[in-house]
Formats: sequence, C-alpha cells, structure tokens
Amino acid sequence: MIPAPIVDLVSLSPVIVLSLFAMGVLILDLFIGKDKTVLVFLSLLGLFLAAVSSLAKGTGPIYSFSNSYVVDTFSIFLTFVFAISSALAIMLSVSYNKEQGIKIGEYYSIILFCTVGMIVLASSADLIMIFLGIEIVSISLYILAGIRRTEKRSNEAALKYFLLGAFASGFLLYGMALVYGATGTTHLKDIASVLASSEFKTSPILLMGVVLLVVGFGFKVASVPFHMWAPDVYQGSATPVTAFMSVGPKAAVFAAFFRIFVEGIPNISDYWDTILCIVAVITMFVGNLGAIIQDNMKRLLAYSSISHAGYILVALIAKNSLGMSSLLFYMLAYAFMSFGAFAIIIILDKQNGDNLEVKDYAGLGFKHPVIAVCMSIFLLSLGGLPPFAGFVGKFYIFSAAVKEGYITLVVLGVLNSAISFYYYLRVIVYMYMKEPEGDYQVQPSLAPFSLLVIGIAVFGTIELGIFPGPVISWTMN
Amino acid sequence: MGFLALSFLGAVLDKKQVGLVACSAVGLAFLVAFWALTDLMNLEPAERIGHVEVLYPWITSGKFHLDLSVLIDPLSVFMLMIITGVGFVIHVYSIGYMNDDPEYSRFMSYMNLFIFSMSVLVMAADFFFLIVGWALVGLASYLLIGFYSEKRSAVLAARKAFVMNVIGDVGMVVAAYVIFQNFGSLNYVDVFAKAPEMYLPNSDAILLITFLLLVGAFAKSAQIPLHTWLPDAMEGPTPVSALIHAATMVTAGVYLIARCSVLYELAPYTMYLIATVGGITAIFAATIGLVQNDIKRVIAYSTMSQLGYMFLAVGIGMFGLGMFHLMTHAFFKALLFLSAGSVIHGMSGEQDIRKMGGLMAIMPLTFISFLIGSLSLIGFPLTSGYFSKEAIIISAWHAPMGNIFFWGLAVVTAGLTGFYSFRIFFFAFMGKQKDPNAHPHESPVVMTLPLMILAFLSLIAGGLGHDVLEFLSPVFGGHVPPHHEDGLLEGITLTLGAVGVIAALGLYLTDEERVKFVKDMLLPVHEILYRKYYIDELYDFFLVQPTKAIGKFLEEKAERQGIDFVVDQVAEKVKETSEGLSQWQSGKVRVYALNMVGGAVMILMFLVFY
Repeated sequence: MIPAPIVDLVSLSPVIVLSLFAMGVLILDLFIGKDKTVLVFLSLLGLFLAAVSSLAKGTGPIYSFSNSYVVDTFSIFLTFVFAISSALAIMLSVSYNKEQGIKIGEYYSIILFCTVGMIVLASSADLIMIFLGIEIVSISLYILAGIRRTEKRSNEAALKYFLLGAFASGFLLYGMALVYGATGTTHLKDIASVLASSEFKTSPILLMGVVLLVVGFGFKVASVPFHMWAPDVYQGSATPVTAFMSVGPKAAVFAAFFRIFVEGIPNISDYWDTILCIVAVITMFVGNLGAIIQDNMKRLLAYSSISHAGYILVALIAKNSLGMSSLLFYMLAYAFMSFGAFAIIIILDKQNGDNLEVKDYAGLGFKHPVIAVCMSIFLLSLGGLPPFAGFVGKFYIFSAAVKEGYITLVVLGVLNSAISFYYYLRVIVYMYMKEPEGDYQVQPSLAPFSLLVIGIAVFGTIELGIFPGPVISWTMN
Repeated sequence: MGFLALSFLGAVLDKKQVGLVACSAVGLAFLVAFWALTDLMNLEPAERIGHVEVLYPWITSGKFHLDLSVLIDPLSVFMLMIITGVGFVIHVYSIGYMNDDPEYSRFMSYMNLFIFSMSVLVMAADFFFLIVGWALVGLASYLLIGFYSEKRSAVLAARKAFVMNVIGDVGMVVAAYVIFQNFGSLNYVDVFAKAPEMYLPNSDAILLITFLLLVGAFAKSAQIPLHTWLPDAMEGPTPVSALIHAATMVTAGVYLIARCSVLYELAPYTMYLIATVGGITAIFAATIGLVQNDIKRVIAYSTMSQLGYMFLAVGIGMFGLGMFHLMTHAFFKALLFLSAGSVIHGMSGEQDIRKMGGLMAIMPLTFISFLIGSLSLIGFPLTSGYFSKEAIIISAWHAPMGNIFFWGLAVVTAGLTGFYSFRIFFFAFMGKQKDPNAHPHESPVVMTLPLMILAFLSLIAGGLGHDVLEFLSPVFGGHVPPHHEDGLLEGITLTLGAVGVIAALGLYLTDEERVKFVKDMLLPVHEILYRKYYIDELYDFFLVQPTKAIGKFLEEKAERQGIDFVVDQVAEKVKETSEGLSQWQSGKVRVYALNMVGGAVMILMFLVFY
C-alpha cells in the first residue's frame, strides 16, 4: 500500500497565499473599471504576505509531501528575492502600462502566478516538482511576453519563446525521465544516495539524461549555445516584462539547476563540471562580446544578462557552501541593479519604442543629472565596480570558485568583467560626454512608482555593496 | 570620550564658508582636547596609556582586523592640544590675513581639512589610520602650498612637496606591510606589546621597520636628504607656513618616532642614524639660513634646523625632551611666522628683508612679538626656547647615547641661530626705511591678538618643562628623563648664541661697507650657502632629468608603438568578433532550434570522447 504523503500546508503557505491573491486579482478585475491601480496594491500586498509567510517554518530544512517539497534557507531567501523582484516589476508596470495602452488586469495576476511557479521551483526537492515549477513559470512568461497583443514584435517574441521553450521543455523532461530510468527515483536525495554507490555512475542512460538536463536548463537560463531566444524575446517584450524575465524566473531556474546538480548528482560531477565550465566560459564571452556592438539598450542588457548567467554558473560549478551563498547573494544584487537599469530605460521610453538607442542617452548627464547618476551606478555595479553590490557578488562567486581550484575559470571570468566595462562605460560616456544629435527630446516620465523602484534599486545596490555583511551571513546559514 | 572626540572631527570636517565657523570648529576641538587632557591628568600615570576607543569594527577578513578607533593617551592628547591650540590661534589670525582674498572660504576649508587630517594622524590607534592621516595631511599641505594657483612657483612648490611626501608615504606603507607580516597586527597596542619579546635589539626586522618608518618621518619633517620641499613651501600663504610648515605638520615625523619609541629603543643603530641626521640637518639648515634674503625662507630654514634638534633629541633617546621642544617650537615658530606675516601684510606683500627696515616704530606690536620669538628661538635665558633647547644640547653630551660630536653640532648651530635670527630682525625693524614707495602699517587686531597670545606662551611655556616630561612619561616607558646640570656647557652655549647676535649686530647695524667687505671675502662660501649646497641642482641632475628621459623614451617607443598598437588591435578584433556573433543571431526560429540540437550533440560528443 502506498502511504499517504505528509500534507504540510504551512510549508506551502507562500504558494497558497500567492495563488489566492492571484485569483483574487483575476476576479476583482471583472468588477472594477478601467483604473487598475487597486489591483497593483492588492498584488503588492499578496507578495508581501507571501514573503512573510515563508518564514513560518523557521530556517531548518523541513521536508514535506513525501520529501518532494523542502523549506530551507535557500528557498526562503529566494522567496524574498522573488517577492522583491515581482514587486519591482509590478511597480514598474503601472505607468508603463498606462502609456503603452496595456489595460489588462490579468497582467498582474499572471505575474503573481509566475511567482508561485518560482517559489515552487526554489523549494522542490523532486524532479517532478521541478518540472511542474518550470512549466508554471514558462507558461506565465509566454503570456507575458505577448502581452502587447497589437504589437508585432511582441507577438513574434511570444511565439519564438513559446516554440523554443516547448522544445527545451521536451529536452528537460526527457532528461529527467532518463535520470529516473537510471536511478529508479525522482527524489533528489535518493538520487544522490543511489549514485553514491559506484556501479551506476557510468551508465550511458544517466549521462544522456544529464546532457539533456544541461540543454534544458541551459535554455531556461539563456546560456550559450541555447541563448539565442533571449535577445529577440527581451527586445520584443514590454520592458517591465523584460526586466522581470531577466531576474526572477532566471533566479528560480538557477535554483532548480543548483538543486539537481549540486544536491542530486554531485557524485558524477566529474562528468558534468567540465561541460558546465565550458558552457559558463562561452556564455560569458558570447554575452559580453555580443553586447559590445548593440545599439539598442534592451538588447544590450539582454546580452549583459546572458553574460551574468555565465557568472552565476561559476557559482554553481564551485559546488561548495560558499558557492551557494554567493549564488543567493548575486541573485539579490542582480535583482536590484538590473531592475534599476531597466527602470531608467522605462522612464525614458516613449511609445513605439523610441529613445531605446544608446545614442538617445547622449547629454542625459547634463539635462537630468540625477537620473544619469543612478544609471551610472547601476551600470558600474553590473560591471562589478566597488563599492556597489555587483562587485561584492562577483567577488564572492569568484572566491568560491578559487577555493575549489577553478583558477582558469576565474581568470576568464575576471577578464570578462573587464570586457563588460566597455559597453557599460559606453553608455556612461554617451550620457556625460556626447552632445545629443539635434534638439534634446528625451523627456523622462517621472511616475511615482517608477521613481520608487529606482530609489529602492539605488539603495539596494549601494547598501549591498557597502554593508554586505548581514545578507551574506543570512545566506551562509 | 572617543565619541566626543570624533564628533568634533565631524564639526571640523564641515566646510563652512565663514571664518567664524571654521574658527569655532577648531576652538571646539581645542576644548574637547583640553577636556581629554584634564581627564587624563586625573588618572594615575600608569593608567593613562592604552585607552583605545573602538568606534566601529570596519573590516574583518581572515586574520586582518581593522577597527575605526582612536587612541587617547598622553602623547596623542599632548599633540592634539598643540595642533588645535596653535591651530585655533592661527585660524583667528587668518581671518585678518586672508581678508582680502577672494578665495577666502576655500582657504578656510582647506585649513579645517588640515586640522582634521592632523587629528586623525595623532589619534590613530593603528598604523593604518596613521597612514591615512599621514597621506591626508600631505594632501592638505599640497592644496595649501599651491593655494595661489595662478602663481607658477607656488604650483611647482606644491608639486615638489607632494612628491617628497609621497616618497615618505611609500616608506610608511611598506613599513606597515612589514609590521603586519611580522606581528600579524597593525594595532599599536599589539605591536608594541609584542615587539620587546619577539626581537633582540638591532635584529633585522626591527631595523628594517624603523628605517622604513624613518623615511616617512624624514620626508614629513624635512630632514636631509628629503628636505628640499620645505623652503619652497613658503610660497603658500603665511598662516599656512605658520600652521603647517612650522608648528604642526612637520613635527609629525618627530611624533611618529616618539610614538614608536618602543620599536626605536630596540634599534639603537637607527637611533644613532636619527641623531646624526638630526644634528647635521640642524647645522646645515642654519648655515643656509645665514644668507637667504626672503624673510620666510630664513624662518623656514630655521624650522628645519630646529626640527634637526628634535630629531637629535629623540635620536639620543630623550623622547620627552624632543616633544617638549616640539611644543615650545610650535609656539615661538608660529609666533615668528605670524609676525613675519604681519610684516609682509603691512608691507603689502614684500618678503625681501633688504627692502624693509625701520619698522620698529611703525609696527610696535609686531616688533615686540618678533623680538620675543627671536629671543626664544636663540634660547635667551628664561624664554621657553631656552629651557627646551638647552636641555637638548646638554643631553647631547650627557645622555647615555650622547657624545661630543652631537654636542658640537648642536652648540655650533646655536651660535648660527643667534646670527641669522637677528640678521633678519635688524634688517626688518632697525635702521632706516629703504624702500621709499612702501607705506607700512600696523596690522588689525585679529592679527595682533594671536601674536600676543603666542608671545605670552613663548615666554612662559618653558616653565612647564617638568610637567610636560612627567605627563608624557608613561608613554615612554614610565621614566622621566634625568635632568642634567652642567654650568660650563650651558655657559658655552649661551656665549656662542650671544656671539652670533653680536656678530649680526656688528655687521648689520653699522654701515653697509662692512657687510660688503665680509661678503666679498667669503664669496665662494656665500655662493654655496646661497645656492643651498646645490642640493636642488643635484636632484635635478641625478633624478629629475634621467626620469624625464626615461619617461620620454617610454612614451615614444613603448607607449605609441607597443601598448597603443596592441590595444587598438585588440579592440579591432573584439569588434569583429562581436559583429560575427550578431550575424549568428539571424532571428529565425528554426535556426535557433537547430542551434540547440547542435549544442546538445556537441555536449554529447564531448562526453563520449572525454
């Protein structure tokens, strides 16, 4: 007889809370008029409550639902990162949606559903749960990418993303199936203990499964050579959606990636860590070199986001506790600086995607010094300059890798940071040292929510850069 | 206590635009320092040392700890009293002196920055913040020397001072590194506690550390061979010369050695070096001072010479005496500079003593101040200089590490001091007015009041000698240096000083023919002295020119044809790669999907063949 699984609704509380709020938003949308502001507040409240409720179980690892769901520091921390990034995305959308004529209440509830998926992903300890989480996240993202229904580019982005995403999900699922076939279990802990005995280590089925997992995850985190969707989709989507996609869902997929590879199959790391090293290195190089000639800000940040996936892979490869905590720290830091940069793109953005070129930023430093300073902070932090969060994050990632002896990898990573300064600084050079072509036209739309996002992002970027101590010690737990 | 001390630093940092605020900030700082002083006085001597107030643990990385902390002990409070006390007086004076300057507030803010930096330097509880203060002081000094930024000579002088100071900074940083390597800490308390147990006297590590620290000390305190910047630094406004280049900053080197007395006592060889360099600098600077014509330059050389005395004192192990002379010197040298400033102010910017004269009647207050300053400088009995200088000269003979050579240097310098100080005095104040176009006038009261305060201190501070020595003794191992009595030596010193004065009197108060005669007779000597022993020319020939040549060579060959070329090529190739990458990005979904499959196949192949 199959024993009934332990049902632990308290562990699941963030997921439940968010789902309820998402449905509430959906229903409420039917009854209110064209002004969707109340939905924004409701969504923010939901995210806040979800984050708080994630603390209900304390920090110790608590397994439930037949060991397929786990609450530990890793998942709690990520729940906070997700809540913050979704909240920032929602706040960014308020004025953007008004200007772009996106009047759909579902928008907010889909973001909440996506967040549900992310929390599931970060908390799952079982291949099936992971797949479930990935699908919740992916399907929400397909919709979000196409949320501007009348826009051609948006449609193209959604369709591309959907086709390729479905393709990648196939890889992923097949990989999981093969791993299950080789080990006879879908629980990560059990997989690890099966693999501890040496007889299964070289089974071709298992290795084939691992390869397919790398492909599937590689696609979801946009690592090279599975990254090609990213620039197109990032450019085509509404900017707040792009910001959202580049932070929260990516972090969630990384969490699952980390759980499977570091907690599930570390015993055969001889086979996969060289692969991941190569993937990480080419991801960094392609991301950074690709960004150099981009003239469109969103595309530039898309490539930059690819290269950041490369850095985060380094943390995963390190496979030690420092790697885990540096991964978490980097996620949070990246959330702040990436949202900050996107927020500035958004307030300068005009309908029909004007003002998205790098040259549109010429002279910004003189006309709008505060905005330009904030943008410089975010870009420098993305590049990894002290005293900003990006520097501390990279520093911890690289020191985790050095500790495990991946010196070459770190050298290449640092080299890439140097390359990345070329295109980050290029924007700054435009802002401060170039004269605008013709009349200066960029008129930022200073909606209070957008400014709040920028304020939070600046604060986070600097705070994490100067006093990283508390967050680091939290992630070390 | 520590908190309050820092809060006054905050007040000093505020770069307020008004002189009043600047002054009150320093005045407040002085009050806090005074309060700390009375606090310390109430403690038993043994309890006075080692009060480290940790304000904020800053960096903890492995075995490296760095706390933002301040050290409150007799030595730091003593220095703080001098810095803020003299600093306050000079700030008040500057209100009058700089009144006409359009950049008045910039000046005041630099002055405040300087006081702040100097406070950081003396209150640091470890070598790290010592170096921070050290470098900040160098920066403030650079800014203030080059204050008249439209004057080319001022800018050059500032640059020279900065370069010299950086040489010292490098020595300090390397010293800190060696200290950390050897002791695993940069904290004074740890280092000084461990040093005597870990090392024998004159062991290599200690000699290296003390020598490197000495480089810093020599650069900051203008000792041979790093002295050339100090006379040039007189291009700055006179209050700056008084504050930085006489009373406080240049004494940082003496402070450093006194602070590290524990280390230096373990390194008698270095001590011997200090005393020798100090003595030679004293006489060297005094001889140059004999023939210079710029009133501020003469005083600057006299500062160097007096610093030589201080180094001599600490070099023979008389740390307390060195600090005592530092204090009296701060008073009378600030007084001399400010009086000189008053003269220059009254003469509308004229600094050449040959064009002055007969100012006694016109500027009586300045005259009296300058007289008191000069008397104190030459060690006229019962002035403050008499007590501190006499003690050093006698110790140069009688102290355990003293010898006749040191004494000889010191005592001859005393004679020369008498000559050059009264030379400028007679030139400026006696005789007839030489320049008919000048219309000298007495300075306003904000300028003369500080003069009177300093004059008063210069007269009476000598009586504090014993108290100062006793107050500082806990820092220097708990013993008060013995007082040497030797009537004969004292007599010799006084006689020589008097001979100097009389010689000046004989030469400059009578007719000019005699001056000319002496000058002609000693022409070669005069030339060497006037050219400052050609040290600047030597530096230029041996260091500046070759460096410039190397720089030029590197710029032409290595930079243009080597590095630039390579960099350009790299940029070119990177751009090409980037363009190639974006062509890969065709926008077609089928290509993307194919790409994914290709990637999967590649990974599989890799695994199979690996």
